Amino acid sequence: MILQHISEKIRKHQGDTAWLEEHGRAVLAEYVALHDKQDQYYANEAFIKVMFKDPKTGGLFAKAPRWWLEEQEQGFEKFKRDLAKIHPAFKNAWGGPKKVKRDGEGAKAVTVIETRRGKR
Amino acid sequence: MPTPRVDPEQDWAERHRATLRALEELLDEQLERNTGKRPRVRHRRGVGVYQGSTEATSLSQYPDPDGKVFEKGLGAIAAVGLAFRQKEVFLGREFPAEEEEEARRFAASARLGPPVPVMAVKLDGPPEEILGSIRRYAGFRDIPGMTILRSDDGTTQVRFMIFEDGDRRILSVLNVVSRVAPIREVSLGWSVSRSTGDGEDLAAAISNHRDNLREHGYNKREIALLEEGGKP
Repeated sequence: MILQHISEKIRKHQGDTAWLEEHGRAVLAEYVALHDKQDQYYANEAFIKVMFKDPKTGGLFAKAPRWWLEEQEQGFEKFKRDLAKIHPAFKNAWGGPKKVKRDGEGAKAVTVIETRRGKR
Repeated sequence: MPTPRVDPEQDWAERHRATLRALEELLDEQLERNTGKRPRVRHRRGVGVYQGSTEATSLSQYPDPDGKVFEKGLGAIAAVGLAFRQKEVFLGREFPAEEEEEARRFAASARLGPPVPVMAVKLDGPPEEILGSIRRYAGFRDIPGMTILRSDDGTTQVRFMIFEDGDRRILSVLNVVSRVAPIREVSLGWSVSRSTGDGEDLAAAISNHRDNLREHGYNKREIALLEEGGKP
């Protein structure tokens, strides 16, 4: 698999939600189309992780355009239905009761850091 | 980007080599520097799948009740990213599924974008068999991003972050692995995620690690030391 570099012309709009809102869908499709069919899945992933990130805060999808977020929500609903067919443990997945806390901080929230092996 | 290397069994065998241990030590030291105290941590090692390739990976979990590791951790993960020439290092605040509202409020207040669904599946079988099934599967299909770890109770845990239109590849790989090891338990949640680096370009990744280090108070000398493999 060889992924093409995202051109500087496009990369300079990283985290620019207004630009991504207007042009993001088309440039994503163009970028993905540069790749062979078997690499398009990874090309799509690479593009959204680079372009929708806020480079200042590191927020991974902080600058994602609305059209992408809406697609995610729709896709997730279908994913949950399909997941329930695999195993009963997935029934009503993510559909539990909503608890409300005073300070917006999840009592059971944990922080996770994931790193790869690296080359040093 | 080179051809994907898919050898999860070999990566599993190499997960306890010195590099990951050195990486975890540097991460702990830099978190202490950035948060003011040595955080409680559970380091786990396993195999990760990133853009179709497998690698030995380290996953560190912090109870982090006051959220300081998440708030101040970007400098520490950038230090690791630079010292170990990582394309990306991820920092996530994970909430249980029933705390979706808290996750959304937290993400909005931190201006970090919406929480992404995450899922950990416990499989009743040894890692080697599950990793073998993933390797065979990867021979003819795309493999989604995931992390494979051993749980304390002897089961194998496979973790996924779900995006890209509710990734159908996750369903597909779940079907395959659950044929060799039945699903015992699932835990679901939401992750508000940050990363340092750049998944597509190593030069851009190094540049972003340096920016994040400067942003978190590291001076030129300290950044150069990290880049040379030393400790600031």
